[in-house]
Amino acid sequence: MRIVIAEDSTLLRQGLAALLTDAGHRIVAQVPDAVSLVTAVHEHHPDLALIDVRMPPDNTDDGARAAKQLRGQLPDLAIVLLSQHIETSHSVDLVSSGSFGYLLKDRVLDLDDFLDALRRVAAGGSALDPEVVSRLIGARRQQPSIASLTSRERDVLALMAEGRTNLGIARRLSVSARTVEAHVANILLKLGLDSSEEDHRRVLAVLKFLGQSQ
Amino acid sequence: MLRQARTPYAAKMSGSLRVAVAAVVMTAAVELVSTALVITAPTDRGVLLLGVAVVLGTVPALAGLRVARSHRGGILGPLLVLPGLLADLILLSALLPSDPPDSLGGSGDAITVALQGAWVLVYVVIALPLLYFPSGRVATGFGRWLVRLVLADAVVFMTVAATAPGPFLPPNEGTPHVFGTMPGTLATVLTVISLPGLLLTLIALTIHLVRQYHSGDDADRRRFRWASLGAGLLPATLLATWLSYAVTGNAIVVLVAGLTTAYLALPVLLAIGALRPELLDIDHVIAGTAAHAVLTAALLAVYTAVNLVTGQVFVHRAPTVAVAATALCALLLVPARGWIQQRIDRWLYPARKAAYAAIDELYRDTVRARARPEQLQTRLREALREESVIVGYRSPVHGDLVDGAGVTLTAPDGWHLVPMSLGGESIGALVAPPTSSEGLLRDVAARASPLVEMVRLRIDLRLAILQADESRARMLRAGYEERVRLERDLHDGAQQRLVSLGVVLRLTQRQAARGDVDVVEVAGILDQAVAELGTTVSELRQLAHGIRPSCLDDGLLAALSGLVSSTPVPISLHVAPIELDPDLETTAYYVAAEAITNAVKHADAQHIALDVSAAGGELYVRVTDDGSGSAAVREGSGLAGLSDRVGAQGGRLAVSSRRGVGTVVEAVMPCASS
Repeated sequence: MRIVIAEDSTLLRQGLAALLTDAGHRIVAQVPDAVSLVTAVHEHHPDLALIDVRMPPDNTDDGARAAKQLRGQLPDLAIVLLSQHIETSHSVDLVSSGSFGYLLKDRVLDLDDFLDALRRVAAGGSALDPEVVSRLIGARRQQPSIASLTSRERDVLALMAEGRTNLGIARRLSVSARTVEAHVANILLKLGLDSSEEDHRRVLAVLKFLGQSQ
Repeated sequence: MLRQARTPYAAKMSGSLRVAVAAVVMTAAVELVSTALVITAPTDRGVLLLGVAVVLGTVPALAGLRVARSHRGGILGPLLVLPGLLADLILLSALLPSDPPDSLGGSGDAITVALQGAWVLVYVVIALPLLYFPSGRVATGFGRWLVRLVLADAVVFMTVAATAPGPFLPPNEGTPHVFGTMPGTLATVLTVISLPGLLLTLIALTIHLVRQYHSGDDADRRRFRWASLGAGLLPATLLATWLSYAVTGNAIVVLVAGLTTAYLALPVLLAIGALRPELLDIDHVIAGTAAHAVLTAALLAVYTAVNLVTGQVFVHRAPTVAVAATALCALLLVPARGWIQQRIDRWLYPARKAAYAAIDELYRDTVRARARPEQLQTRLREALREESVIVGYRSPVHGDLVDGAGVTLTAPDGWHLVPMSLGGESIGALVAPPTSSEGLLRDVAARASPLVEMVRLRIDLRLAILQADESRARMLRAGYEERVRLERDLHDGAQQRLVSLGVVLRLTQRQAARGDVDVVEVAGILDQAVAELGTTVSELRQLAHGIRPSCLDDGLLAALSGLVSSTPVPISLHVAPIELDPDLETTAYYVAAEAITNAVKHADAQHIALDVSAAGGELYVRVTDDGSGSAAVREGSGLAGLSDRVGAQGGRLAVSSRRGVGTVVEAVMPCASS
């Protein structure tokens, strides 16, 4: 897939580029700030933009703002935001819109997971950092609907919220896809969500549910 | 009594108290006899006289006892009882039957004859307390002569009255001369001497009092003013009597009332003067009394004049005339009242005195927390009768003259600006219109300066609290900003490096697994990775140092030595061996580090001296450099942050910088050890 990388630290930018190239992707542009990111995306029309949240010119959340702008201009563009630290409310909003990922930078080191997340997002799915998910679920642990889940169901919910498909969850938990399907049906029932929707829309429903009352 | 008598001092004092008590007992005895007489033969006149006797006897007795009990005033206490005793005796004689009862035999006549000239004693009992006022001793030789003269004159007068040839005055025309008669010529000569002598002694007494007043200090003068108010009531009564006679043709009511008042007031006023001269602002009382006396006199004069003029013309319309006269008096006197009061005040109660009294009173009220020193301006305006006087305070912060509200003050053209200072330091000024007397303002300014200093200290305190609040807010903000900076440094620095390193290692791992890189290449990449790790570790160490310099673990001296050795400019270091609290050590370290950094970075210093010492429970950290000398504690500067840090330790930071000479940064902080 064709990727634009926006990251102000040269070291990390080049490392990421090398890593992704090595994994068989094509890096069409590497930029150090939010302004040149927008230009590069419009110029190269990549499949996916990998964006650092904190970048020049303001060094605050320039990357996230550029991402929102690009999402408005190019609805099909897959976007993965990389952040130094967890920030739940914004990230859930973005990720719930689909074709969007929000990951801590450390995830890069778990290469297979990271590449999988990029693939998911590029395919129109979502990727939310497990750390963010565990916070969301942790914050709602007291709620009857969440409290009524078994611990296995809670694991499945967390993986769902990260944006994984049933197959992905099954691989991750080393169980059969049918077992996961049963868990998912139970979870949706307990949370009062519609189970008829297709795979990734269901994930988004879960995310919305978790993101509420944050 | 017995215990008091053991010391000679107390014995002497109790002596005067005993005499006073004896005089009071005698007064009471006389009143008892009078009461018995009135009860045996009750008449309206008798009851009235008895009432007057009780009042006239009791008030001086109480005043005298109070003075005698105070262990001050010596013989003055008993002397104050005497007017009451004498009044009671006189009233008793009026109650006695005009022809003495037979049981008294010849002694009844003897008493009558002996008391023929007794009215002269009225002057004696007034003159003596005045002469012995206020200490119970006669201060001058002149005074002691006067005492003898007054007594001798009274004796001579009474002797002449008792033994002069010819019948006694009515109603005693028929009383025999039981003590014989003296030659007529001698009687005439003695009368000629003693009557004017009485007048002369009264004049001499006045002179004596005036001289005592002028030779006394402020406190003495205050006492004598009370005495003068008491003594002044007698001539005032005579004046009022005369006026009353001139206007109404009848003076007896005014005379009796005036004399009674004077007679009662004198012992009371003398007692106050001797014991509590600060009870009231006596000058104000005198001026007020005088103004009222003058007003009354003026009123009567106008009334008389109107009556005289109109009474001749409109003989048959007396009520109309009376109403018209009253209306005219009111018309004339109401506007005149302020003017008269002002004139009399200027004479008897000058502005200086009024201002002094107002300042002293405000001081007392302030001490008792009944007033605030900021009220000085209001009080001075009242006292000086000048509504535009302004009290200016030299601001402790910027040195400008400000009014009570803190607004900068400038004197309009031609106005007086009288500076105030205390201990050589300018603390404020009085601003007043050109019509005011500058000498008066100067005196008032000098007297008011402690109050002005008090206000200044209060302003100072308010500002200090304000500054402390601001400093605390700045500290909080600085703390927050520091944490933000730290977070950013950690995320953008160490974390970023570590992630990058991880990415590189991952990549190498993948490539090595596939056999894309050989061992030499991997070794090279690992070498770079380790170097990167080293950089990150040292970066983390610097960050931790910013939170708390770990070098302080070995004490301030070690930390400062490290600081000195890592500074490119030579520093002479002197640190006294002091045990300090860790937070104080940290602050001291930061003072040194910041000042040295400034000296090297901004002032281009060639040599720096760093001294840490302790004296008098305070820690001194002083950094002196020979740089360009342009340092100042500016908002948001490193020195301002330092100043807050030092302030948080209860200390203060002083920065003195002279262009081309260098800078001295000194922090003084309280420390437990010495």
